[in-house]
Amino acid sequence: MQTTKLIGRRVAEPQATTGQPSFLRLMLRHRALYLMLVPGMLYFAIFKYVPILGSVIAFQDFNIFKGILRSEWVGWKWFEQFFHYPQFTRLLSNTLIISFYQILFVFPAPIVLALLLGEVRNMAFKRTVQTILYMPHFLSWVIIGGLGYMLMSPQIGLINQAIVSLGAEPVHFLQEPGYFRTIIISSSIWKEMGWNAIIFLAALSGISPSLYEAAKIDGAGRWKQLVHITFPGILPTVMLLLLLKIGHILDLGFEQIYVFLNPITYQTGDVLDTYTYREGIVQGQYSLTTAIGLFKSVAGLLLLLIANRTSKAATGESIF
Amino acid sequence: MNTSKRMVPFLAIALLAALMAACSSGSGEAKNSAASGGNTASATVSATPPASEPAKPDPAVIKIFMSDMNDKVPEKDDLLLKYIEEKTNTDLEIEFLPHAKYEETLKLKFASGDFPDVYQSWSGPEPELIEGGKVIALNDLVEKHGANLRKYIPQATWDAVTVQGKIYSIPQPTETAEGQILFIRQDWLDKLNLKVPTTSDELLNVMRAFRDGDPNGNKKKDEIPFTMRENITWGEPIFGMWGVGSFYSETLYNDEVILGNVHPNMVKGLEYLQTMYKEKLLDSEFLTNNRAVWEQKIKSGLVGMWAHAPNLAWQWQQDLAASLPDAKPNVMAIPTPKGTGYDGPVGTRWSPVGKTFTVTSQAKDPEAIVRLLDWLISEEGQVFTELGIEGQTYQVEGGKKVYDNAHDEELKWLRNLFRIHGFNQELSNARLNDEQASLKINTAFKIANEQGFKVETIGMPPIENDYNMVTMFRENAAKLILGQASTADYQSFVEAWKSQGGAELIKSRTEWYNQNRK
Repeated sequence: MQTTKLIGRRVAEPQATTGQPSFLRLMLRHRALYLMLVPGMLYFAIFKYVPILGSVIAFQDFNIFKGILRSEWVGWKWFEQFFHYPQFTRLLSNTLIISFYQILFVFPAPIVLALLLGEVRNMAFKRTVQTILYMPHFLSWVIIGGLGYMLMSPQIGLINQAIVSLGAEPVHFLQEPGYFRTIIISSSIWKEMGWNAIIFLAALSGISPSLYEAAKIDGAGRWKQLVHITFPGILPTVMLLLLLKIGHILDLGFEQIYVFLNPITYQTGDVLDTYTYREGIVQGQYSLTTAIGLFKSVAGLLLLLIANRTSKAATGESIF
Repeated sequence: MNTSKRMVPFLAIALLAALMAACSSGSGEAKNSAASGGNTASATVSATPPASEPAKPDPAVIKIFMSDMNDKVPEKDDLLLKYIEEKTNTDLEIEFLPHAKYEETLKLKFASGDFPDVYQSWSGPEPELIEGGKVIALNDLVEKHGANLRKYIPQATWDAVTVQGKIYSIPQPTETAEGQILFIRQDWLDKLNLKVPTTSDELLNVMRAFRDGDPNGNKKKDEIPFTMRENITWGEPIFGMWGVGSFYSETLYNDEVILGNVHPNMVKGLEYLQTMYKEKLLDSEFLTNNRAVWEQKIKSGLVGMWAHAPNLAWQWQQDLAASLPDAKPNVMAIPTPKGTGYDGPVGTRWSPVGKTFTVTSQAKDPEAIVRLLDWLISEEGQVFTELGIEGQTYQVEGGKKVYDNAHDEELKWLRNLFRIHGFNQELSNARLNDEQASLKINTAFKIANEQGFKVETIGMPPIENDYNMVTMFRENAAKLILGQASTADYQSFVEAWKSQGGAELIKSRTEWYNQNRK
């Protein structure tokens, strides 16, 4: 009782003095809501925006003792050095190719899985399958790397034992550049398919059953229902996730590549992230690798903007 | 009532702010109580001007940054620690930093202006610290107060921490000059009636015999004559047969200081590995073996030879004896064979420096620090840092020191942190307290001290920009070993590296060498 009276008083006050509520007054009126925003804003300011300032070391010959303020400025030196390396084109094309494969194969996998699961009528079976499929999400890549070794090693690997027992020579899956991307893509699908399907299953359950009923009355079969109801129903979710994914096209997730990578597979598998780790963290070349990181962010942002525009024009869906 | 309700969000924010402040200052603060004590102690001392020099009986307060060496660290009132303080009339305020991130933490502390009186590291100070006047030259102090330091630390070790004639750190000599030597299954050699190989060709024959002769006796052809680890590591003695090394071992060639990776002899080692790979003498998984897998292969009796640290000679023997009780394994260290057509020194690079102690310009009593280190390396200090205190951890019986291995655990930190002498055979034998162990260790150490080659840039500022050498070397070496590239391809990689900046690196390193070392 008391609170309603209180709010009533507060609202009445500004209206009494001026006729139109300005933005400041609006803020004052909903100050509790704005205050609740503060921790979130602080988080982004401290952990996302302040570190951006650190990117200036990409234009410096950064020295950890001199710090950002007193390190020497070198302009575009690191970018030039990096772009002139013969490895640069290879790193970029590896990154793009693996990313492209991920969008082509890894991204649709959970959608297909969700659609399949959506059709299952036996709830117990559906739940069991779902649980089994999302379990690998909780394994770290290091463990999956170990499992990969146990499967594919020419000396102790399960697959190779099968190959040998059939009378063939063992295959060095992990030391063969040609297999690298296949291993990365299939392990990605195995690990994340079940987990990512959860979002699409949620989107599926958001579609009104009355649409299906109406379609059935109109004589639509399973396939027509899928194409005309289910698919448009989950399209906003699909587009949203796809656009976010495109923004990250140059970050592949360092760990996954790193656990499978070795010098002989650099040619097909060395990507910007693994290179940055080797040269930046291990060798301490902070400026060079910050330059690479900055390049990645700018390229990612551009790609996101282009994809967003295209999507808005083509499907009407966009993230902003 | 009204006001208190209105206060709630503000309070929440204030709390949050306080929490964040507490967290951020907490992380920068010392990790143990000893260190925070040190802060206050040094603060009070610096408050009083230098005129009031501490009187003789007052122990000198020394604030130290040290790695915890990944192990337990002593309490402030530990008896052994007290013993050091008593003997050297000091009050040690030690801050232990986690080993895994030691260098990083140290850099961050320095960058934020937090300097101790002395800090431990594994090399001389970074050039920035010298330029910034953050560390002091110790020549005079060592001359005056470091009789034992001068006696027990060899010149090669001093050289590694001397820049333009100035000594910036007190270095611990390493037990052995080389950090990596070859180990062989002597029992396999005996079983197949083979001799220890002395040339690269003999080595090939021994490995072929290991491959074909079923030395592990399981009637299966599963032997791996030689194994190494991912990223072309732990195989240095192979390159060492032609006197070069793969990881930042710079030597003089044609009056230039060059990386072993671009030395013409590197190709010979790589071609040798290629032959080994082709003939299935090299572990086919050498590119992917991580430490655990590599160790597992050796311990399950599949491997005939491998390279590792000399001080682990006894550890390997014990591990193999435990995992293969029936095979009666005998792990021996052997000298690096001589490469065909090569007549220089063989082995791996010398690394003469273990721990180092660097005195900063913050130190109020640098003399006390030098005296402390001088005592630790004195005869008395050497015995103490290996065997502890007489009557407590060891006894003297008939002029011989008798030590019981039961005390190993309580002396571990003392040996890790405060032992600053190199190899002392008498104490090592007493400490191991086992004839077999002494034999293994002494053989390995003898080999590791007699062979190897000097790295000309030891003590030189580290290479900041290697112009992509790490990536390019690993890849081109791997291709050559697997036979996917030719020697000519390797040469063109060397040329490509030189043209993308490597030539400048060689030039600047050579100039430094000519100015400071020649």
